[in-house]
Amino acid sequence: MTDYDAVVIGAGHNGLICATYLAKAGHRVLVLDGRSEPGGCASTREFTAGFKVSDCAQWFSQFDRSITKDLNLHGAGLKLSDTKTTISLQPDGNHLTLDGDHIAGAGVDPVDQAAYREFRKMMQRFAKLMTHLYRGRPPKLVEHNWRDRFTLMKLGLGLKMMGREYMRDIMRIVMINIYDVMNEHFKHDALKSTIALDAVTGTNMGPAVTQYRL
Amino acid sequence: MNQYDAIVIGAGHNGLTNGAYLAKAGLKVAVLERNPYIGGATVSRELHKGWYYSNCSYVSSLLRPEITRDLELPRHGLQVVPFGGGATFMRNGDHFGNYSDHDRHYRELARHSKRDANAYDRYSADTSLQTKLIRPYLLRTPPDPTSLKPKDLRDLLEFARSFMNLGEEKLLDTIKFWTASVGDYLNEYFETDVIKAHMAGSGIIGTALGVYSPGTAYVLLHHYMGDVDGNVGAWGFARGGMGAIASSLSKAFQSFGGEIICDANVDEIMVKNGSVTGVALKDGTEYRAPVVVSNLDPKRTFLDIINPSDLPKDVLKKARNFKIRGSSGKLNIALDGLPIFNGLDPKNKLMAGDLHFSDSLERQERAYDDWKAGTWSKDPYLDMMIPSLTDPTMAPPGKHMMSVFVQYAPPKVEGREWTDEDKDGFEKSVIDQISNYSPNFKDLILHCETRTPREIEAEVGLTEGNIFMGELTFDQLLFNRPFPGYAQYRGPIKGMYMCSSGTHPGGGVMAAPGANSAREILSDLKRPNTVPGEYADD
Repeated sequence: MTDYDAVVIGAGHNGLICATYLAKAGHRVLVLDGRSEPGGCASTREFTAGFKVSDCAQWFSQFDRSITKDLNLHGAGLKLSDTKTTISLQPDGNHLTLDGDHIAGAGVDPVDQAAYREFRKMMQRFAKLMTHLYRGRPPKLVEHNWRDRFTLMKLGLGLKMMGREYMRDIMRIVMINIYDVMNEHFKHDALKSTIALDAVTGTNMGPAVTQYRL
Repeated sequence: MNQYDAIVIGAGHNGLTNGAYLAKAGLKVAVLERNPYIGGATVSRELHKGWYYSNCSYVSSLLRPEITRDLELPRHGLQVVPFGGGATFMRNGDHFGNYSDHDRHYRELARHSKRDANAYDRYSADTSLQTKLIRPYLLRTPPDPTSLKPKDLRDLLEFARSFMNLGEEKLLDTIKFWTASVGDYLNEYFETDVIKAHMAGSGIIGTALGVYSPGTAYVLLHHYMGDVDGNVGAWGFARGGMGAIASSLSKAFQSFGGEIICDANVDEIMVKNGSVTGVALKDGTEYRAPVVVSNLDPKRTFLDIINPSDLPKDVLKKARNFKIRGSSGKLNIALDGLPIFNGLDPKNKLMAGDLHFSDSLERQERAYDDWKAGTWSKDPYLDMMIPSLTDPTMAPPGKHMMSVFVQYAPPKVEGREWTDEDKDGFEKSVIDQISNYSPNFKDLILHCETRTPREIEAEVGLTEGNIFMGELTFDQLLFNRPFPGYAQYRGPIKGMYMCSSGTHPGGGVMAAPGANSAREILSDLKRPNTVPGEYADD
């Protein structure tokens, strides 16, 4: 029997989630994958006897937690460890650690520590604004229907609600490269490079040409 | 009595334009200039007897036609002569010629690639759409998107509407265009290295970015949005060099009763009770005025000539973070005759245009790699012109003047100041580059003025030698130029204004910042506006 309501090509996490929602709505869904195991970039492989590796993606951070809850992934066996500290190893052994708002080591002075807390606060503000955009389809800008118009209005209002200075910051920062953002905020080299790593991971651009990634 | 209604600091083209419109409205205006001569980066200098160098800016297109006509600059001696042509010489001895005639240009493109020849009209149409979009905003004050003032809201709405009118597809193209790299943008149309490289040059000139850096497609547009005599996208030479622009503006300014004071090196803008009261010179002279307009770049304005205690903290921080990076240098060369380039008949009209030697995006990006490493490009991108082919007044009969704009040159060499040996090394890498394609070039050199960012900063006062007075990236354009909250030409102190290329719409000898700033000042003073509105395009 090869008759389905929908066929999804690729059993990575997005393919599976899409299929799950379709199936949940009562459709008969088939997910196809070229490999022998599902998972795509979100899979685990035993690369030598007894040793396993996250085959491709290595961190779990941007996953929409409302989906975890909605599809009861915990009930289906997903367990998450505590948030890990970021450690930037230094040649002299005085390593730099970033844990939430807290920075230690590598001789980062109180000025940079305070700047880091401010920076995180700003990023979280911006992230909050972006999060609700991730939860919908990107709005059309001209040929919009009421739903697109609502998304755009919410974005505009969200921008206004941030306050004047934050709004000015975000309209400038989305177009700027991480190299300049780091230099505007921090003095400490290892701190700058540790934070900047997130902005260049997976792009083919260097820090001086990368646009902002939240 | 050194009392004026307004003082403008810096007699570059924007300072003179600003002064002219204020004086035209009946104000008593003085324009102060640090150098013994006016013009700033819009000068012609006879540094070798008989030769005139436009030794900073060297071509004209962006100068707003509204201002040219309104201030009757031709009557004051300005004549802009359009030039055509241009070529990129290739390592294999061939070249790509940029012909003005459409059919001839098609055949030249097709000689390199039939596909690229067919893509060219599409590229031109798409790019000119962007030009049309931006041109009406050049002679206007950018609206503040965080403001709730009726004027800002009205302008924003109009701005939004002009974008919406493009339709979904063109609007998305536009957003992509404004954020893309010039390399990616050109890759969408063309396949041939030399064709892409020839066009990509306009995307990096004057910026500390490479052909693959996001935002450089806009820089390309910045070089396309001007016109000569209504011919959009055309470039020309000011007869007698760029100094003719400053000279005609100064005559217009003086015809309205304005006063120019040279050798006036401003030490500080004087402030009392939160309002400006005038300026003090380094020699102790004071000039008093309730309005002071700075035509210096934002860094010099806020960090050099204003007492930090007179400024809000956020302005100091924003001024320090303002991106104004040195990226280019210049050679001005007096030649004993016309150089001959491999594979091109010296009588070919292409010679009168902009000549280049980087035949691929790859080479241009590598040139940028040197800048990132803190040194000048060893295989530099050159924008080379021989203005005397178009304007014979630049050099004695039979001789020629050559202007070589060089990308890239860092503001500091490996973190330290430029030395004379560095300058010689920089000069050598440029002269070698040209000699690789021109066997008789070296023998023709009679005099050469070499300007690294060090010389440009010291002589013209452009911080780091940045020709645009601040990078033209979106974080520093429109309502972000020079920085958010201060993009409407008003400074943070009552009576203090800005009119330099560090404000909207940026550098390139446009004179628009000077005019826009004058309009805002006159509005604050409740004086009738003397600044013309923008002309409608077709």
